[in-house]
Amino acid sequence: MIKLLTIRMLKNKTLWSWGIVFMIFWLFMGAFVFGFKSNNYSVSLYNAAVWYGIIGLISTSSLATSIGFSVYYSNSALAYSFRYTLLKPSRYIMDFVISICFIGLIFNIIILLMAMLMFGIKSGYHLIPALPVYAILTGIASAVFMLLLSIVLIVVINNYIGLKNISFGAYIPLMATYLLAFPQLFISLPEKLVYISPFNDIADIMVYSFYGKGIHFMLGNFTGSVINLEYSVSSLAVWIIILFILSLYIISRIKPRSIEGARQI
Amino acid sequence: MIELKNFNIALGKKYVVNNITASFGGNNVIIGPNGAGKTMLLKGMLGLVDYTGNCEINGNESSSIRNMVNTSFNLPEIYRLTRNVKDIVTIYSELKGKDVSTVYTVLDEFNLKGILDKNIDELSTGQEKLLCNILALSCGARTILLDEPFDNIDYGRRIKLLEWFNKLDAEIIMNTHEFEILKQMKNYGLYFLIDGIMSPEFSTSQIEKLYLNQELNDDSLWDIKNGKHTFSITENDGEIRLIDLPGFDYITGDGL
Repeated sequence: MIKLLTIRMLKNKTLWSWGIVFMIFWLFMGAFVFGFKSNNYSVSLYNAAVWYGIIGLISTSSLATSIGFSVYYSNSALAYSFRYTLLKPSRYIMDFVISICFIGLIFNIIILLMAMLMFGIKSGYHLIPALPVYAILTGIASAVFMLLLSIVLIVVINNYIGLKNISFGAYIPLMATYLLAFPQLFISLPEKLVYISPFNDIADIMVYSFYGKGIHFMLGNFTGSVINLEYSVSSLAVWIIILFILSLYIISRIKPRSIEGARQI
Repeated sequence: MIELKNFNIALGKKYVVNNITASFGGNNVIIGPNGAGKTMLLKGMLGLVDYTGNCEINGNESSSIRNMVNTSFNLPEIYRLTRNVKDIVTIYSELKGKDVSTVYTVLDEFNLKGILDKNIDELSTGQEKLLCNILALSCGARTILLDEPFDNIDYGRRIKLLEWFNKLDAEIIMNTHEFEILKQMKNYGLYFLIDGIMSPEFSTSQIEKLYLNQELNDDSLWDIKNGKHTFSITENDGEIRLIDLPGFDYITGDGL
């Protein structure tokens, strides 16, 4: 299953289009259209770090949309397989998690390298991430979080809310990313929200991993109080654990539904 | 062995399977018109739709069954864990604990090896049906449920499938809406299902002796009331032989 899921995702052109190509476009925009040239290495590095953090998060949230639809299309197959094959919910989730770790790794390395390249060209500095291993690990954690969130959302909608909401459900991770993490660039969000929101946690840890120094609650500003990354890491870990347990519970109860039920018109 | 006791399936407020109590051992065929509830009955037997009453597969209540690999089904949507046919064959062989070469051999016998490189949605309706039949039949299951296994399949392959059924060491419950195919089945338990109501057990070996009457009959083996008409089934004598019926629409009234 791991090999199959990994290959299936690697061959998915939509994933590459939205998760990589479109994100590279935004890195380009960030570096060359919205960006500015600074003579200060630290400022240039921070600017690249912020864009890497936000774009890295959006990139993995685009994975969630594809995974959401994939789980929905498999609802009858999963319901049957848990009952009449050797497939167990734990194995399905674990195989998916392992596969998404691999995809998250690849996607994050690409986004990291592109951020270094584009912002490096713009600034004229060799922008080297301070903690690249942490950055990539956060990218992987982000992919796992998005996977688990997506599974929980889609199965809840599939089983209890109504199939016409499937499209909406598949886009919730992406929408939440824009609604929660993106504003942190420009406004100072409440501290509790920044710590509790896993989307902000991911972006903040990524920015920190690239920059290597304390980052502020308003990412686009050098002033204000500094985020305690230990809280962010702990919050993200708790979210992943909760979603992992929830996904195991709920996927074992997935109900077979007609794929046509999601048709809007 | 599948045992149903006061078994009901409702879609909204409407019962599509209505209070069935029956015991299925050996090979059985359920025949009924389109929309009679045949597919829903098979799904319900496997616990894939909510039901009330009881359904036990080899002593296990189907709503709580987990990892029972010796039971299989041929419904296309249950094989859609992925799109590519080769991946589907590989993954379901693994999940059933069987060697994938068994399925490849059967696909070859049915001259279907060419479909392995395609996606399941690129197959013709008949190819998809055959593939799902093969996946259900070649996994070593001892209880096999088949939904319309002959639909859209050419005559030669139908006969091949029937020969395969007879060789299998398994209990088969299949449904169909075709009387013609029943002639080829010897000593299968035969049930009629109309408007979610199931008849008592007949045998396919009786099929040429069964007659349909458009009124109740003192000698009837089963009476059918579908809301529009009342029919009865008699043996040896009656209005029209079931096997000569052009289709089940005659019984449901639409063909009269």
